[in-house]
Amino acid sequence: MTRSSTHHSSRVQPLSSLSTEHLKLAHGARDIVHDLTVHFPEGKVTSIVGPNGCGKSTLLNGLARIHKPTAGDVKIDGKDIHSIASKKVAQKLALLPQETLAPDGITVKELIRFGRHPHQGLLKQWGMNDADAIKFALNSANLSDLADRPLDTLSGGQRQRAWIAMCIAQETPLLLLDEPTSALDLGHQIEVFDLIRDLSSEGKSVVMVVHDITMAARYSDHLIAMKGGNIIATGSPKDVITQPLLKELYGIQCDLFEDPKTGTPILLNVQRAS
Amino acid sequence: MNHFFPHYQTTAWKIGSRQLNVVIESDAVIRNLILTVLLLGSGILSLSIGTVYVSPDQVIKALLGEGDSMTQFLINDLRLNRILAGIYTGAAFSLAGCLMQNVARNRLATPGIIGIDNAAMAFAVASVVGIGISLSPSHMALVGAATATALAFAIGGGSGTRGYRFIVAGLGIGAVSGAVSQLLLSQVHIDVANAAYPWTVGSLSGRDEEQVPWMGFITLLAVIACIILTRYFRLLSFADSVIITLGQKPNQIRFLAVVISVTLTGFAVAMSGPIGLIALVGPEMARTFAKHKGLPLVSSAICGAILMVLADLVGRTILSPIELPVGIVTAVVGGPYLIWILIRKPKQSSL
Repeated sequence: MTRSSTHHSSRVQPLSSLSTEHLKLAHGARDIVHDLTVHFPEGKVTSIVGPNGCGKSTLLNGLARIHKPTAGDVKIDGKDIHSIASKKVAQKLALLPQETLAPDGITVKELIRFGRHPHQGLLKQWGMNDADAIKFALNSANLSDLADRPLDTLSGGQRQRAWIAMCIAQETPLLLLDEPTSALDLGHQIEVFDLIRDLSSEGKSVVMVVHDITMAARYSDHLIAMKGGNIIATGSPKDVITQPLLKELYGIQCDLFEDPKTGTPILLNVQRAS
Repeated sequence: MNHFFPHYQTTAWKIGSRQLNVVIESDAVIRNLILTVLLLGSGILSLSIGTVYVSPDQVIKALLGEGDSMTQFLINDLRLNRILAGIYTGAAFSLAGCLMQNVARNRLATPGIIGIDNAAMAFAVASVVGIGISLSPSHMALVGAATATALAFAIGGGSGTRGYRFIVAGLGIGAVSGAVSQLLLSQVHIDVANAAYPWTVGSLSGRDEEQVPWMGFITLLAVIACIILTRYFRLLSFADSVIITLGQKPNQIRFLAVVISVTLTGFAVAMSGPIGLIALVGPEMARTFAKHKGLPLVSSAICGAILMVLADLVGRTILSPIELPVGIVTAVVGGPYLIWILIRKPKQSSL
């Protein structure tokens, strides 16, 4: 990746803390997330894992205030996000959603420019910071050469990086990602995960929903395992990923090995638990 | 900014201690200037052609208050009002269409298609044929437009991701409203039905002179509001989750856009009757000029005005001395144009 290190130091945001207190989320009358109290460690990459329908995406949407809680709070730096002005929250927290509907014919840098929206207003439509932030986002996501390309002419991996770049331009201490690699091939998955690690090492707290448990283990500092709307385990990937837990989460049994390079768990001989 | 976005200009003003930073797209400014010149040309052309031909330079002189008094009377008192009515309603229909398409994220979702025109017409006809309400037809048209929108949103359950439910609900409402208009017309004396007829086809000849400046005022207000609010309306092309993450409230933005769109449509139908095709073709033309970039609200308004003026000119002259209502001309000319545009660019099926 070609990046100028001079930009790095100037665009780091102070850490912010993200937590929930007795959070309850429901779809209509059906409770999805029950009484959840959790703290997401600052400056780390946290992955939420669990089977389909366990409430992990709903939780992420709850954290991003897209899904309103029926009870409890989501707190940024100790303050309930629904009591803070929406624009102020948007300066603290960015989300990479799964739905990637975008205006027709939009170019990469125009998309990234939308990330500056929370920092702008009717009377301040463009500030000194905006150009720097966009330039930084382009560099971080390694998209400088593609800045003028229409979004719909990019490959899946490039497009995903463009959306992440939009989040980077938002300059938030907190970044949420909803299955950031779900539609990508292996090479592009690694590319996106590497980018996420880079962002974390620059001081962002990252919370993401990931399906692939091996990938989650390899690229996260912290795992949260969910089942049926409850958290059943939290901790470092090594501590969380155990045979009993995998059986409880996915109904599978497997052999666990340690990745010789990263020390993170690898699943082998996966089969349905008898 | 210029380094990154060469076709945008940042303009900074200082008002007191407050710094104003406004981004102006030079592409859009140039495009709209060209379209305005085209609109002026169409207007002058339309003013000069009629039962008595007046040369364009005479028309300009008359507009500026020069030349002989006979020509001045012909242009300023007899012809100008109709052209202005065409400009204002055309701009209103087209701007309303562009806004509604943007809200529903679907190019088919114009007020005409989702039944707003028809409902406005039905209410206006009801008032003309003497349903016992003391509101004027124009007011009734507004009430009808608002009612149809509320119904379409209620039945369609919001505008949805692609607006299909909304459109289907609107189609139903439009059909029912059309039927109600026909039923009302068939139940009354032929003279009363005749009085209500202009409301059903869309024509610039039946307008109320006193309403023209009002229509202009409302259209101008809407255009200014859109220039200010484009910043927010543009966000509607994103998923709601993205809009929320960027710190805005999608429902509030949609509500604003729908209110402006329905008000414009209601007033325009009140003046000229339902000329729904302008709302489809105007924005389409504007998007073509804008190379399918951004949200060309102002260009849509100007394109709609040009289309309306030209369609009215064709309607007045093609079968002269018989006058074709402008609604019929837009249907005959606009329909094929729209089909051509839709089949020419099959890949751009989204908004």
